[in-house]
Amino acid sequence: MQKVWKLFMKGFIFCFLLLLGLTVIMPVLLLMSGSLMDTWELKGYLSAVFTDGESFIGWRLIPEFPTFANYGKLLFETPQFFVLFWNSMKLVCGILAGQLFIAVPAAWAFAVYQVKGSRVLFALYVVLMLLPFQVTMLSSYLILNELLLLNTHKAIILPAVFSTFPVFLSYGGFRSIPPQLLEAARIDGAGELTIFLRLGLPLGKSGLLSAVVLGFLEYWNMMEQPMTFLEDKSLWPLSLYLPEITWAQAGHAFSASVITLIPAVFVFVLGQDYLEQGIIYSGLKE
Amino acid sequence: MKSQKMKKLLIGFAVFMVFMLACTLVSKSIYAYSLPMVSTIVPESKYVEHIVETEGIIVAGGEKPVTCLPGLRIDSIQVHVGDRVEEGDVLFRIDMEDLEQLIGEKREEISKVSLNIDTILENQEIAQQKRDLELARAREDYDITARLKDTEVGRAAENYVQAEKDVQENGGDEELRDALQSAAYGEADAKAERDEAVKQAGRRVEDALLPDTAASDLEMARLEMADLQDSLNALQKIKEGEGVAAAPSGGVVTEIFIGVGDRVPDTAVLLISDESLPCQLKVTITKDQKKYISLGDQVSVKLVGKSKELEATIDYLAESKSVPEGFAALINLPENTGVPGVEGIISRSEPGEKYKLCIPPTALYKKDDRYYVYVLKEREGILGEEYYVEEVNVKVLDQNDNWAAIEEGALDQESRIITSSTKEVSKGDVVRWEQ
Amino acid sequence: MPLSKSLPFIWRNNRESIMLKRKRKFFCLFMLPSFLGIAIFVLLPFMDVVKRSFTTAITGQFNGVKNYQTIFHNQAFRLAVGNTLKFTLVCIPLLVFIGFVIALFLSRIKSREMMKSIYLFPLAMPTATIVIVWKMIFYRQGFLNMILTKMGEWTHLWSEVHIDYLGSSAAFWVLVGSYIWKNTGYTVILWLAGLMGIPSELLEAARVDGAGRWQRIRYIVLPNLKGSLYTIVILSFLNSFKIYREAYLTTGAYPDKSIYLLQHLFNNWFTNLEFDKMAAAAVCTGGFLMAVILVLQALWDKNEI
Repeated sequence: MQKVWKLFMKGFIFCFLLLLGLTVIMPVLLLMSGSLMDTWELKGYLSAVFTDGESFIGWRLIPEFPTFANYGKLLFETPQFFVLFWNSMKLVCGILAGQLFIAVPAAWAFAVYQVKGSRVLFALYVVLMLLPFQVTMLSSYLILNELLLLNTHKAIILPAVFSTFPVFLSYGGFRSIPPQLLEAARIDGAGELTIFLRLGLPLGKSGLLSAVVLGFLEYWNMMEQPMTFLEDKSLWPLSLYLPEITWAQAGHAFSASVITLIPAVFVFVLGQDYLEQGIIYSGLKE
Repeated sequence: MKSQKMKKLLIGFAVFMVFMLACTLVSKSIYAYSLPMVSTIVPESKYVEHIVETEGIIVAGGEKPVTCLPGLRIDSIQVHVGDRVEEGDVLFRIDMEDLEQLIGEKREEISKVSLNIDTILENQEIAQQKRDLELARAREDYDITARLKDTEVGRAAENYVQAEKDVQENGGDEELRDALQSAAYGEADAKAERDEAVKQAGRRVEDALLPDTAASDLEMARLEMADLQDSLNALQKIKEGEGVAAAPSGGVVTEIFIGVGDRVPDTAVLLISDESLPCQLKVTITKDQKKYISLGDQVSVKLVGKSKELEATIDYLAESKSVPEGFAALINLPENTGVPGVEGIISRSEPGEKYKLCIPPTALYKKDDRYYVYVLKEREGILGEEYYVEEVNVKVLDQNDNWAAIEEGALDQESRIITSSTKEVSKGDVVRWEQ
Repeated sequence: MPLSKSLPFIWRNNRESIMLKRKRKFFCLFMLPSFLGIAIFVLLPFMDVVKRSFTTAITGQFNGVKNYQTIFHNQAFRLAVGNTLKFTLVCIPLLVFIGFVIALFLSRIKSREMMKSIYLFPLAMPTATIVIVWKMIFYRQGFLNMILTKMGEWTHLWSEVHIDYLGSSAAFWVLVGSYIWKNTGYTVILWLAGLMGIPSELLEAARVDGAGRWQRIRYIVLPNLKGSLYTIVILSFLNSFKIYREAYLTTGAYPDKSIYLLQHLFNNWFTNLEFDKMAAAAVCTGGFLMAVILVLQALWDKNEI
């Protein structure tokens, strides 16, 4: 009896979770089906949204007249999209590279060297991480203006490179390294730098990579900084392209969304394990 | 196994990036290729000159008709429209046989009329005799009547006298009085009757004295006779001239109204130009051209065949009856210049004003009531600097075939006006600029 | 044999202080790039912000604490602070709880991997993309209303549903939903990791001892998850600020009252060049956050020990 009940529970839980999962995925499915519809079909479904009538939005998961026209137009006839795409790539890669050089050593410092006051400094770092962009928006703008960085990509890359979020995540990864290992290496005569490079990095890889993955997802999406600091539309990242598309070009918007999704999905899938591990390490005992 | 999956994914990602790169290049070229290419000019400062040039033909200053006796048949026409003839030249010949026939007919008619006249005269004689007779009779009647009636009156008077006597003698006898009365009446009656009868007879005499009704028949016949005689004379004359019609004066035949075999009408047979009047050059001016040319303006005239141009003025300008929306103008040529039928060109150029902004009319577009041009402008797009098309409404101050003058304000001397494009453009389009 | 033990006492102390010095040196060395950058790009601006909080917006005259007084009396500020706090206090517990429950369920299932991927997916989706979908669902004529109407038709309980979710106070719950949708995966992973981290022997021992499921959860599982809780709370807190993006993209700069957040306020002050108020509010926010973090840290440290 118990066994049957257990099985039933298991099954129930499974179904429940699956259903939940579907609801979670639904938006993506909507996007993908929408991107394959041509203008007329979309108009038919979405027109309810524009007219102030009583009818409802309609949809079909499998479009009646599937077409790749939206993708064709997007990929082959809109160079603007690609300018923005490579802008995004440039920004994100630049930021992530910089973060690796800046944040990782800092995380190492916090993890390995317990110095008086490092607690307070760490707390400061956490606060800085939590501060919404809007709080320092103005001052950042002015500083960047002084440094003549406004309206260039550096205005976005530089402040983000010094973000404390990756410090937080990498810290978790480094924390998991047994201090005895490090001690042993020291005794063996290894210099601190060597320890960092040869021991710290490989062992704390998961923390680093989780910082990279989450960072990618974060910066691939960023909106506030480019909007405020970049004036030239030719410098904008992809995340600002989508809000510019109107409902009338819904098919275009959907296909652009799907394409924008793809790199994020790639990174996500590639780094999922590291992501998990990193998250875990950041959660374990400090 | 995990690393296999990882590898696969990494390769997939790399493929995706390469694909993106490829699409970047492809889309750039397709996009650039699909953009229309335009070329532009800047407005220039020009004089907008208006030249009115139009062809015309010389017409005769005046015309003279050449007539002939109507009814004659044309045997041959020796001239054509446009031929120049001198005084005395043969214009056309009358059919002689026909003429003979006509003469014969005329003669017959004359004899008919003559007979008619004779008859009328005879009738007149008879009528006169009749009248005389009637007069004599009427007179006779009168006399008789007068005498008879007088007698009756006398009788009636005697009656009365008698009756009076009776009354006087017999005193108021009613019968007698009645008789007296009736005798009085009788006398009165008799007198009235006599007057009446006399009057009537007198009238009859008067009637008989009246002349006959106007003898207009005779006059008419006589006139007819005279007419016929004239015609006959004319025909005879033509016969003498062997049926030749000659030009009364020198000139150019401008119009021929009949053909061979036709009978000469009442109107002119043909028209010859009147050389005493100077020729005129007749041109048709369109409504647009009329703006720049008016009555009295000086134009230069170039006639075919003459090398030198001459100056003349527009002497006549009015709406053309033959060409809708057109105007007919006549230019008097100096004496002895030009032969009708010859072509000539008149031209007049009006320099107009100097305008700061002139563009070729091909760059000007019109919609409904407004004019507009396409101007090339720059802006910052995502792909960098891009050129786009803006529609600008303009006001046209003046225009000829080569230039259109635009009012300042909407454009200036640096505006780049689009004059040609590889594809149709409309406002807002992104384009490439051919420099 | 470690060198320190073989040396006489005073030398040992020296050694320790040398070690300390060394530690400090390397600490600073490794920290330097990061700290320098932060100093330039974060602290320096913040100093400027602090300065501004005491001056007027355009002219820059010294203003004393007037700015602070102004903002505390400013209705928009109070609304924004209220909303933000409300949002945080609603979302974080909700998310923590939901994540925990799902993690519990997941810990019993074998096919965890796929599930995890599914739940983590929302994290990967770009915000602008999600916004389009939310619009489609939550518009007056959107999917949600359509489904509700259909349900109403079936059950004859209600007629057409035409709630304008985004334009009314329901927008708050829309945002909460969006937040939970996005961050559940994250939370679940963390909880799962925490759960996996509990030594199974402890659980076994407890079961053998006769403790029921709930008792096991209460007395063994929960206490061991305190570390995870700390991280989860911090990260959820962080992500709760990020919800501004979705709000801005769906409803613009002046949304319905119920979702007017701090960031909306700052954004609007910025576009209206009201820098004095911005600065004062920024200082307050920063100070408040600092206090919260220190408190959390202290709490957590206490539990540690």
